[in-house]
Amino acid sequence: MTDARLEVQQLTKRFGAKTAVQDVSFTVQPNEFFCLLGPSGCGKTTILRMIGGLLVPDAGRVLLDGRDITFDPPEKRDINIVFQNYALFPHMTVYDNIAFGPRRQGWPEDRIRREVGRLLEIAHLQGYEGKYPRQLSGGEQQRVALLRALITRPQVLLLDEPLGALDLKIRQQLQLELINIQDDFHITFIYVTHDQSEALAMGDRIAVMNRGRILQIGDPRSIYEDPVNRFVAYFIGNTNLFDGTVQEVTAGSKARVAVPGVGDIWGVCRHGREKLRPGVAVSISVRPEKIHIARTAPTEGAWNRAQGVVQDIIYLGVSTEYIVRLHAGQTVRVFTQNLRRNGGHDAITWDDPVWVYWRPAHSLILPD
Amino acid sequence: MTARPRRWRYVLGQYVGLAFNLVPPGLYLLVFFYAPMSILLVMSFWKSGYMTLTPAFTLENYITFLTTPIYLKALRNTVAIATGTMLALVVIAFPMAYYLARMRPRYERLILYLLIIPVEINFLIRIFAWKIALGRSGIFNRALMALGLIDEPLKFLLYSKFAVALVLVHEWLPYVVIPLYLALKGISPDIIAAARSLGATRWDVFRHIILPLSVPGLFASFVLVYIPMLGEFAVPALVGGPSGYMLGNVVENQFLSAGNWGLGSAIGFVLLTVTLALVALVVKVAGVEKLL
Amino acid sequence: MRLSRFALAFYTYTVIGLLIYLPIVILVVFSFNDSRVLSLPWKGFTLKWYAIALQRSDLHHAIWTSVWIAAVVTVVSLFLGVLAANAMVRYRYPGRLFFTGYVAVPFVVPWLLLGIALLLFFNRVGIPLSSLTIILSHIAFDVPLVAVLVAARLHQFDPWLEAAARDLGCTPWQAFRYVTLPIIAPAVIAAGIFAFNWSFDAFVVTHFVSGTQVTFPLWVWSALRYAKNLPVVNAVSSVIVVVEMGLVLVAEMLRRRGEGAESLF
Repeated sequence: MTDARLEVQQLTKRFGAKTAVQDVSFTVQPNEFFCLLGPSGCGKTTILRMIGGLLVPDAGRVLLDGRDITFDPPEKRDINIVFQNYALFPHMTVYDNIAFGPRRQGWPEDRIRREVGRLLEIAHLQGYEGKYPRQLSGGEQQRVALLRALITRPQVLLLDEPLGALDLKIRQQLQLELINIQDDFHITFIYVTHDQSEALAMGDRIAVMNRGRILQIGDPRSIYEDPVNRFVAYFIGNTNLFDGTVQEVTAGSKARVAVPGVGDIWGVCRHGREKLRPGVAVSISVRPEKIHIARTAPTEGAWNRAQGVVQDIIYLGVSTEYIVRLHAGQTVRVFTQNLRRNGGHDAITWDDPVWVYWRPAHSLILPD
Repeated sequence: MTARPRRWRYVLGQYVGLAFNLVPPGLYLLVFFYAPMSILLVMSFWKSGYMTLTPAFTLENYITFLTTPIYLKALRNTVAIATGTMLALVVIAFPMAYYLARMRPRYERLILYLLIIPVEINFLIRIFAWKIALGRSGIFNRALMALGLIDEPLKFLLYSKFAVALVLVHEWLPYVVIPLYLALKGISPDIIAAARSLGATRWDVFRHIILPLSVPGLFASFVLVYIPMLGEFAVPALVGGPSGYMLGNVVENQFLSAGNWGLGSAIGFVLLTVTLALVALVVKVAGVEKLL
Repeated sequence: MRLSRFALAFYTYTVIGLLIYLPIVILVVFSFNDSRVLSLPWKGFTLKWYAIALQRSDLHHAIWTSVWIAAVVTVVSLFLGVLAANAMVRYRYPGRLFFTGYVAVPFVVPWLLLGIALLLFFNRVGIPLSSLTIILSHIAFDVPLVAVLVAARLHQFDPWLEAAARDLGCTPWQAFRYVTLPIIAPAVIAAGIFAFNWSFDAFVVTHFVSGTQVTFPLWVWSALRYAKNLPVVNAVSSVIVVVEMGLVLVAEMLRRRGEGAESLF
């Protein structure tokens, strides 16, 4: 663990009676893009503020390159923050905003001028030196805030929902720019967001949080494909959740689960398999893109299956989402790729009786 | 455990910053406001004579006040003048505030300037200006006589309760108009339109929408204006004459002429108590605490 | 609707004109009247009252006293008032509301009572009445004024700006110096102008704690008692009216400019 850039150990922070962050630990490697993901109010911004030195934890430590910085004031940390509302100084020009950090470090003015010019060019903001923050658009303000935090090349850059206030198109463009900048500058990013698609798209690793705790840390694929519990499965992407009772457990962590109204479903368990015993209540998560939809049931192979009626069809261009009401009353979402232009001659339409079916390997059993 | 001392240093650092900001002004007000006010209270219970004060507890000063008809008349005068002027101010100011709140922004600012600027002119000078205008041979009387409207100068114009009230209205009108204007400006025209569309007459709108929603503004003007009016002494001294004599004049007289500081302190405290009691009464009656 | 709107406008301008401006206009006009009696009929235009005012050394001394006292009072009040505003807005601690009330209480005590209380206090403590006691007394009512005006501005100030400054390498003092102070500067300057005005115009409190020292309002007060002084007071007052209007306009413009910058941001 000595090669970790940043290490957070058992951080806890209470505000009055409310525990905002409880026993949070993680390590971030040099040059890693690390995402803290969770719903608003889950404590992720509080963690960021403790790393940045704007708050002091009630318990736990923060280590930067192995050195304890828990109680160092923010100006003593080689860590900079891009604030959620940008926090650009309204009485200073773009140039003075970006030059603020270097001036505190006593850079000579001609070096500052060169470096600011270079950065503005990278961010496509040439000629903006003399403008004031209020004259910039949201995306431009965002870029200036980023440059201001980057120019002194801190060891770690903390980004607090930096794209939260922007339009979808600008957001997607800036996501790419951020990834490129991170590559170019070789700076460790810790990125806070409540947008799971942003975390999946950008993060090398993601820590999923809820109610002040970290539930799972992993790369985007493992978080999506192997969620540890019902919350993570539900929060990341779209999923269908079934509640049932374990009937039998076989070798290889497979189990048969009785779901009321649907019947028996076979699935696999990757986290917490030791809790699986007949009679235990579990959730099953099935991603919509893993489910097939057809007028007839498959005749061969091992499938989980259920019968229902098409209730809604949502055409999304690249794909179509079907919402199928099972006979038991539950609805199931199914995504299909639009491979053909008109959906083919036997296109499924509203009120059609259909079968939905999926492989047991795609039924994730989540004992909570 | 190296974290312990570092945590303490951090906590200490926070308190040093706070103390640096809090202690100097706090201490200054303690010494030059709260201590003097306390001394005032204590001395009102000391035995007092001409230019002498003896630290022996007595209620004599308060008894003297309660048994001297002139002082009680001054108290009645004070409450009457302040209350009457306050009511007149509200009545005069309400239509102005309403007009201001509903006008175009450009002119709105102009009128606000017109209201704010004279407030900053030395008020002795402004009282003096009224004295020029109101006197027996003052401009009003001369003008009215020249126009043939009156034969004799109007005597009540100067050295009367009327003169005191008029000058007080002049002095405090901006302080009543502006808070009221701010309160009225906060009322969305949509609310009024909604009320009208629900069948309310213009009177209903005023009675049930505008008036209740302007209570916070009324209260703000009340605090800003009523309290200083109760403690007024320069205006009655200059334009009030004997009939406009207020409690403030009694206090000033005890301190600067009669030399009875104990009695002056006691009357000062009666004034403060009456002020706070009247404010409390209005808070209760108007139900302002619900709005605060 | 149209008619009532017109009536309201007429009413508003009439009240402002008659109740607020008429006496001031009369004052200024009659400062040019060639008569010892301040009344009609008009005796002809003259500047002699201004000339006399220019020669009165007691008047000059009073104005100068008021100016330098107000300057000292303003500097000290700004310092203490900004600290108090900081303690009211920028820190979180038990008793913050109490402190806010503690600073604001002087607003609800009539100045007459503050004046006599300070007189008793100075007498008790043994400080002879002089310019010093005037200054100490004026600071007592100017600190709450500055504190409230600056606190109102600080309330709109984004605390994240200071966090950002710290994050970029500022000590707490540097963050205040480079970020907070420039942003609240218009409010601080405006508060300074108001504080100066309050001190310069203070009559009630000064009346009790001045001893033999004569400030401008005290000079006016005593001059008003002798009829022969009236035209001179009139002339001086006219000049003061114009100067103070200018000062207030500057203060207002500064205050509004500060607000504008923040609302645009």
